[in-house]
Amino acid sequence: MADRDLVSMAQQFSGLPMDSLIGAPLNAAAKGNASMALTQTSFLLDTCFNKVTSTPSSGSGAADVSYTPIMIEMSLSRPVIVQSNNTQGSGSGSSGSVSFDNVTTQFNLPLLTIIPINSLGVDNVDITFEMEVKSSFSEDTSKTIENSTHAQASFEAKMGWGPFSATVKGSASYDHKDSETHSTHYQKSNSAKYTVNVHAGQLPIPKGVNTIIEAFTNAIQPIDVTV
Amino acid sequence: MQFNINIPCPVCQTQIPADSNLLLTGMQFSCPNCNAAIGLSPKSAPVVENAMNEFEELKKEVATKKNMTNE
Repeated sequence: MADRDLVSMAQQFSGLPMDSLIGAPLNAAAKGNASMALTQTSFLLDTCFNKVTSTPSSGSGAADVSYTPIMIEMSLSRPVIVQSNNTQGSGSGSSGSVSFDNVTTQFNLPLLTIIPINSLGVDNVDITFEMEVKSSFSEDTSKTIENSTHAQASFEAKMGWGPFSATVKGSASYDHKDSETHSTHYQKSNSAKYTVNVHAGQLPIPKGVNTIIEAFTNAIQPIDVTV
Repeated sequence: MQFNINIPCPVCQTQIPADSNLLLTGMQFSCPNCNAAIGLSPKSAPVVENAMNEFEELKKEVATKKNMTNE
């Protein structure tokens, strides 16, 4: 009867190394992302900042390294209302015409703020693991019993008296047949499916970088430029 | 049209949607609030162009790392 037992589904799944199955691809993605973050940081420091190395005054200490943002110059054009004084004429008050002049000023912006750095990194990781265990058992039993009996008998009697004679013949037969068929079909099955979906999304721009960019951008002020 | 950066307007602090590559072409972007237009000064164009080129290289490098991660 032991052959009829189906496999235990729980037992099948309990032996799976789920940590490795889910964790390994995620770890690879995380390592990749960390590597990309380092590359991105190097890019930001090398491209968007000027590295300033100053030797310490004490002499023996390590050199101080600081980074200053590379600034780019932007132009700002905006219409301003200009009132031109009209001193000619006989009027007592000053009368003037109002006109719109397009004034161009300039402002400086850190180079960092115009690089779309948040478009880098692993944005999506999907791990789909599917395992299906199926177990089935089927048994067919067929039994046929057939009995057949056959019997046959015959007799003949003859008698005579003078010129008369009589003959009697007889026969008897017997047939008997029993048939019995027994059929059994036994089947059982079970199946289980184990599906794991892991989704890891890309976080927005790192808070630290965002803070730096916000500090830079909030400090943007137009400056007057004499043309 | 999809812009990839936002630059705060120096006049009213409203975010001005802009595109780094289009800034390089000399295009100006208007503030949706005060209509002030901002653009890249020609003298800063080489610096930005260099940075954008390096950024494109970085994106390629990242794409390679992504492919390696997927494999």
